[in-house]
Amino acid sequence: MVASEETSWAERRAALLRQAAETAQAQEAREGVVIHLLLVALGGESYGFPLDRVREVVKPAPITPVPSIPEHILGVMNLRGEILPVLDPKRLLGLGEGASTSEGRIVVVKGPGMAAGFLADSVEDAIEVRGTLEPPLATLPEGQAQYLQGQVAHGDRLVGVLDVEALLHRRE
Amino acid sequence: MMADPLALEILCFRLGGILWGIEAGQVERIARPEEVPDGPLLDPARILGVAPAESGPERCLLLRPGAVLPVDEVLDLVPLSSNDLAALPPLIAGALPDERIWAVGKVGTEVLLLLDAATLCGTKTGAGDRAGQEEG
Repeated sequence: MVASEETSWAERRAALLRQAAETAQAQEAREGVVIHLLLVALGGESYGFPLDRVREVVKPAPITPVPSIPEHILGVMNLRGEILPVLDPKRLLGLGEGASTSEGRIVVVKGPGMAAGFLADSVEDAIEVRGTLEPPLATLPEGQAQYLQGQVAHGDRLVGVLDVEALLHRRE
Repeated sequence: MMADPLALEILCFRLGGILWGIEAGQVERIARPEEVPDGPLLDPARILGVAPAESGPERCLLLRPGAVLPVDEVLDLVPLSSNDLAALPPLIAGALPDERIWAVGKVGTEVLLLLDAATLCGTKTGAGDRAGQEEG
């Protein structure tokens, strides 16, 4: 193959790839991105943990409270030998307190260099939503918006997408 | 299996519904409340943020730095090797006012909070916190 032919093929491929990227971008703008969420119930409402941040879901093991720490940190639990902090997202979101029921589950999330558990009233589903992440509604309870990445439409309702970083590192 | 030469002897006790541990070497002796000599008495509510049992302390720990910690119940003396110990998760260590809880111990599925007597008694360099001590 002569050099000019090679250049021509390379240019053609590059042009095709550019076109493919533009098509994907246009489709994304038209239909929204695909968001994978683990839906959990918190205080009668559905919220979603970004699925790529969820390591596992476990039944609540005994939680040892640690005195003198903020009340949204419930304490520590021993998960197969790993000591994890357990947080109550309901307290942060202004939804009351997490209650340990038979439906209750701990969602273990991965953070940079750490893992932590979040107590949920129950785990509902793992869903795939195609749409745009909208900013949290202004009508949300005071202070809740800071713990949400945004909201997405799922069926006939809006689901709050939890901001794991903000939940882990609550701003005082 | 050989015993871990670095294993710590931990005295386990319950206080305010929580399982705690303290290195046996930091405890001078265990006494009944009526046998406690005069000396600084640590108030668990102020120093640890836990309310003792309503029935009152069952035992008191005479700590080596020279203070008395009333506890609800003395449970056991257990060896904890490095496999049974873990650092406090950073999220929790960062939220504590000082290093009074220096690690956690794993006993079965339970977690015990390991106390540092020197920090508790305010005798640790840099701790500088004698809050919670009362002349008893």
